[in-house]
Amino acid sequence: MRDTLIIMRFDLLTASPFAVRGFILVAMLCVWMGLFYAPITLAFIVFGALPFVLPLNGVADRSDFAKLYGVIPISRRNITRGRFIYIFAVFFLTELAEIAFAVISHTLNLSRLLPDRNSALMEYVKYAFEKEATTLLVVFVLFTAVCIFVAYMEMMVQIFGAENLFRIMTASVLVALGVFAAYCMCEMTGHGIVYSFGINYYIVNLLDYLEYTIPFGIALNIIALVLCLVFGRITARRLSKREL
Amino acid sequence: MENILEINGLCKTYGDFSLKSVTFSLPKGYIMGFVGQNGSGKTTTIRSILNMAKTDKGSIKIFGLDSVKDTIAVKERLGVVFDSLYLAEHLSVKQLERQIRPFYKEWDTKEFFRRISEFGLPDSKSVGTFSKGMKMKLMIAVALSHNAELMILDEPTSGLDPVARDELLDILTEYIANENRGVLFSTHITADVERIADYVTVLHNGKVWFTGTKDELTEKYAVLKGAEKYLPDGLREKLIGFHAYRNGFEALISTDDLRGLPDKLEYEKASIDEMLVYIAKEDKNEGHSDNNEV
Repeated sequence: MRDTLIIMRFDLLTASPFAVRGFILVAMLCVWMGLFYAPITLAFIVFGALPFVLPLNGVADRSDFAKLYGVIPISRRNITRGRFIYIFAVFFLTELAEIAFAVISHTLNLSRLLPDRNSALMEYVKYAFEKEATTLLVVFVLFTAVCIFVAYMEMMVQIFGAENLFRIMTASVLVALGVFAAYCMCEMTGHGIVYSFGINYYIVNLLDYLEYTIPFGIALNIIALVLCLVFGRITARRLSKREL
Repeated sequence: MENILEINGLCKTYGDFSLKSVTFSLPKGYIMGFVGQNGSGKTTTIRSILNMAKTDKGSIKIFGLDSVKDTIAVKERLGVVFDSLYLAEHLSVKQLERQIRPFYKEWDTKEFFRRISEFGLPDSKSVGTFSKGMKMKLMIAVALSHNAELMILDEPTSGLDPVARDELLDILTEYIANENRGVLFSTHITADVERIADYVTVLHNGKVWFTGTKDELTEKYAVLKGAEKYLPDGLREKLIGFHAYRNGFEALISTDDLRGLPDKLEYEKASIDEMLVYIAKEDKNEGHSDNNEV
């Protein structure tokens, strides 16, 4: 665990010079929008956290980290695992901040202070502050989607190389589209999850209530964590067969 | 004498290149120059020592520990300098210190910054802007700040100006003053080896051509010159890198074979550089090379 934390710290210090300013800017913009106009915009802070992860492979290539990894007294497996836990931690901490601001935003409802309360725009603003569960749902879903996507891409880039990024993206999008098309076909022919398991819009609408949204969000977080760990394990296993 | 590094029967194949049963050892308290022409297998051997390359056969022991099974314990006590910087180039020395510090249990921040100031390195400038000599000094400062007992340097002087090379050799001489330490120093600039090494291992086409003390090596071979007609019968086959000119020949000869030579043939002490040149010529004479290299 100590080694994993050291590697996470190493990655954070590597990416910080590229990430901090941009993150603060995005966060400030989203918080301002979230507090006054639409709490849902708080979910977009997660995109501001991307520079804490995305430059790492480029820096590693440019700065010849393969040699560094061969020199430091940390096992290669822990170096790889550390990167995936770091990815989860970056987005998870961002998500926590988003949740905190979402709660503050819905509690304070600062849109009350805005002028022209009766304008058409303000009708939308009022509506945006009505459903806290929806805000949290978007935060959870966006966090999970971004975290899993970034961890997946990290795995693919580490295994197949950054030079194959375009091919990896194309193949991944095609596979995702294929799965989605198959799912749609199943639903249309009456064999899909919604039909088979009796999930209908009534159940989906339960997510509009906090008592259902929060367990759903926790489940998404656990899924994201498990997938990050699995991707890390697969990557570590594949890389351990290679030389530095 | 206790060995700080022992390599026994190291074999490793990379496509059409292979290390063939590389065996040598470095006793504590000494500097070993690890020489050979480009592509002779020096870097592959060093990568094997660092467990960066997987070996096919053989064993490597560092501080008496296995380089693969005990790799973490070994790396705690190892300082490594490569020919190029392996640290994040966009960070400053201060930021790098914060990054590297947790890796080593015996990291000494004061010692690190003492070295940085001694080497005259700016601590707030990004290290990517440093000259090659400055980057080399930075890697040495890292290696010296966690109490490394063995320093491994892979071609550290290549591309350095004479002043920077001289400084580096002085640092190594100062480092080895502690007799519990050792230095393995790979280079193809043999003048550096002649200046500071106690032991020399010459690698050629993936094989150890010589390993022993520097004095043994320099006393073991000589350059023989003269007219070919004066060569006694049977000696021609013993010569290494025989090269005939219009007025005579030149070749490397073992000093054991010097006895009983005619006065018409002259010989002089061979430098390590000359030895490398003659063993490369010998390959050409034989018309082949084991690793498809000259």
